[in-house]
Amino acid sequence: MNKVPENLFYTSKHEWAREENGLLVVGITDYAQHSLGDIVYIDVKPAGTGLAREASFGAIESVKAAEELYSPLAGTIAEVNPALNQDPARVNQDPYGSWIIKVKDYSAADLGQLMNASAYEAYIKTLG
Amino acid sequence: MHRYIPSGQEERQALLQELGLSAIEDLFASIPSELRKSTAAHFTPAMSEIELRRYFQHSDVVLPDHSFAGGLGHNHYIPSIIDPLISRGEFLTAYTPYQPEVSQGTLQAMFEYQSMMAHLMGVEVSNASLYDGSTAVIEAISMALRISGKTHVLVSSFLHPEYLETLATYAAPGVFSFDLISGENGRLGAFQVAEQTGAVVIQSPNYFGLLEDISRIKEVLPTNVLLIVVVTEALSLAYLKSPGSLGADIVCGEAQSFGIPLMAGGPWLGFLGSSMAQVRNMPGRLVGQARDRHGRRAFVVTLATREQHIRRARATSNICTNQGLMALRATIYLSVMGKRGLYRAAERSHRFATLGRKLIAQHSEIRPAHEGPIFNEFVIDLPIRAELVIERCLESQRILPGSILDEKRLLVAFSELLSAKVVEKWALLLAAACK
Repeated sequence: MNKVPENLFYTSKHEWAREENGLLVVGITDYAQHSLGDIVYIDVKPAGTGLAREASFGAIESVKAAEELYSPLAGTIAEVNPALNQDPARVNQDPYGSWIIKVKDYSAADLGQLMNASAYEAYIKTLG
Repeated sequence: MHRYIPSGQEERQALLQELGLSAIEDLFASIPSELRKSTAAHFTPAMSEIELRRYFQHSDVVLPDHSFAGGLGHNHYIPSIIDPLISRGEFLTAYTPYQPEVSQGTLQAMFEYQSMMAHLMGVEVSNASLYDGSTAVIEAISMALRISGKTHVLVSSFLHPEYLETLATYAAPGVFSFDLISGENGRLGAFQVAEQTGAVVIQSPNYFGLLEDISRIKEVLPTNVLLIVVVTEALSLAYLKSPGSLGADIVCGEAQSFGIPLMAGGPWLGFLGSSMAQVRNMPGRLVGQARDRHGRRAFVVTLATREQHIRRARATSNICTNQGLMALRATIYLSVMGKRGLYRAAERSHRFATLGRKLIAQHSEIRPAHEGPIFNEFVIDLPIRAELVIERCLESQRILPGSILDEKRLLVAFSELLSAKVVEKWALLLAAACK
């Protein structure tokens, strides 16, 4: 069963986002880490990189696949989680506790364009 | 047990008994006795394969005719063990077999290829090979642009013209652009770097056979964001300081000289190496060492998530295979030559080139075009058309004196197959042909 916490925003590309101290914290969902399998490497663009909505901010690599990471909203990368460099498998163990980037200069009004938990839950059911 | 005959006395007796013979000499009974020497040949100290061939051919040179053709493709000695080994059914398949459960031998050979090539290049990691030198150059440039995130490269105008042509083909759609840099006397001088420049591409030894000062170029580069791609020729790695140790970020080139016949221009062998930090940006196959579930040493294709069959359009490169059989030739070549043998082949090639240049300088009709340091090639200025000189040399002595660089210049190359006597003969012939 894929966990979909109530208090987060979601994208159709399986990223989650939440606001914290004026920054948008971004990671990948439980569904995404399940589909990928054992994650071995996360390659993220450096802090300061400008992002369009749904633009790639890096790639995530498992033993069997490599997928792009997409920014939920337009903004600028403020911070990259340094812990994932050493231990990318944390994303498998705790997808919602392991943020990948924090984004600044985004528009909070745009959050409405993202899915809430029940919409995302319904969405992943359609994917089978 | 003898070094080259892997059977002991007991085994030999058993084999002879099976054949119904009493001594090894019986195997040669069909050769008329007047054609046989009554005493066995004695070699002291032990001879190498190439020396043995010379001994029996009573010749200084192993080649029937002599070629001094420079540019891509050099005549070097090919140990006789390579052909029978690569022809074994386990290796000689229609397609590269990379399933780890069936191809441990192939994977181990590729792993050993990577280990030896990385050592020679002076880098941390080599891929499992590419098709040829020109592909390797393009893949190295693409890799440098991926790493730097830039769209422009500076390329030495002394890069082999066929590599430049391939580069122009890849640059044509406009994804990246390049400008040429040059210098006096056939070697690179100072150059300007633009904001969008991601890499500098240097060939050394360059198209004229001259060595570039890579560490000096590295020192004067304005930022550490800029990558240095060094294009080189495999055998030179055995004699010169490795490009990696001189500051190259990516090393690539042609390895035809490692046990691969000229074969009218291919298949040959491209190589590419870089640092572990950039391994995910590398093109092509990579073989890694692992452990199976019983804890035994095993080999697997690794980091395949960079590749097209998994990563599709976002793969690091369109190349999803390697030049397996040619890389195997190189692996066997390097294993048979050993560190010392490889160095001796490279040193001999260099020594004859140095001798050739000295001899050419003594003739008033012809002269070396440049003065800088060389490995095994250089350019000669002629007083008459190069085509005519080649014709005359072939007619009178069946010696190909070099390849045509342009109307009045020859590009000449030297290998360990030659001897000082042959080089002297070549210089005299060339001078006479120019009169």
